Amino acid sequence: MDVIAGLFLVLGAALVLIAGIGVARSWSIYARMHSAAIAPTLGVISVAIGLALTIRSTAAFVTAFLVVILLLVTGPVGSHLLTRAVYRQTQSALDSVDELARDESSGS
Amino acid sequence: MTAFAAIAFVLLAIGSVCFLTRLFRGPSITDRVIALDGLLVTVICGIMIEVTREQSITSLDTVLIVALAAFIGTSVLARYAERRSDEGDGT
Amino acid sequence: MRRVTLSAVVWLTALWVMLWNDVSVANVASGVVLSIVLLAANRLPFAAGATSGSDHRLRISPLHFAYFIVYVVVQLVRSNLSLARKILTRTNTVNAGVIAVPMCTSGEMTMLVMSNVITLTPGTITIEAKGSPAVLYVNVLHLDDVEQVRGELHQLESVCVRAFGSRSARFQLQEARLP
Repeated sequence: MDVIAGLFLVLGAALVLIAGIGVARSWSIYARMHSAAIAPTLGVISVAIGLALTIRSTAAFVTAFLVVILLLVTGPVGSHLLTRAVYRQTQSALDSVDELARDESSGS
Repeated sequence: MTAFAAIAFVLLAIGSVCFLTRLFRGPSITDRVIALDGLLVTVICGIMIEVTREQSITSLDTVLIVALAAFIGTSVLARYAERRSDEGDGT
Repeated sequence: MRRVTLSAVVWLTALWVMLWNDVSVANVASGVVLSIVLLAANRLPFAAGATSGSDHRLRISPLHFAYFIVYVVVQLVRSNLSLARKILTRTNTVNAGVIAVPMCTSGEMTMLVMSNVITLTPGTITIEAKGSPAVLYVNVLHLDDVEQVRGELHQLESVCVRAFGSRSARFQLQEARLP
């Protein structure tokens, strides 16, 4: 059981590392934003599973569960606000279709 | 368990260097906000791995505070960046 | 006092007791008092499904709700792992775009939960939501096939409505699936 918990810890740290690589290496601001969203979701969930498998007390379960719920609920709010801030800047152009600008310019 | 925690800490250290790179280099304020949020998530994971290694949950409540601070900081800075891009140049 | 509903008080008291890690009379009582005070004092106008008429009230079906939870967890893991693989292998070729997803059913709760689930899974973020006609604008990172992404989001909408949609929303969903 300790080996499985240790593997979950290493998996969580590896996912945070992959998110860091994505943030450091990508050329587009949207790619950086989506890469940084991996870390609070799956990275923290994996580490929390490793923690719950090692320390099997109720307090550890409850606090880890609370941390995961808090990050899953507040993460999307921050991402949404950041993406709106990025979208309003005219310098960061999208590569592909942009249907919001089409709908806003046509006045619907 | 100690070996796994050591490997995980090394991976987290490399990840935090990547986020720091973006914090220094990022051309706009939004890049720096993303990098700061990533650094705080790295801190959260580091505290949880340390709690697992020490097998004592004394410092686990710190994680809740850091998560809350990360959310509030990111939201406030994102609203500031949006308002600033409405008024001025937006970098 | 319309916001002080029983389910909200129960949920907030449970959170309070979980934070204290100790189920005692003092914790539960202070939790109930605090949750009632907080719910009555804040100014958020949100009242989920408590609008007029029984057609708009949320009806939760337990089996479909369990399927909804499993669906969200599976989508979360899948999109995280696929984005992680794309970070490692496919570099410097993102194709970011914003697509419009018109919703088949009206209802604020469905749109709220959908936009949260879309933003939770990396690869898609909700930028804007317009009320009438109900449209969600979604920023997709690797936008290779627009219709495939729209189909997946319509499937998410049908899972949401079957889990906790109101009667009028389920009726609209049934009408939209028939042809």
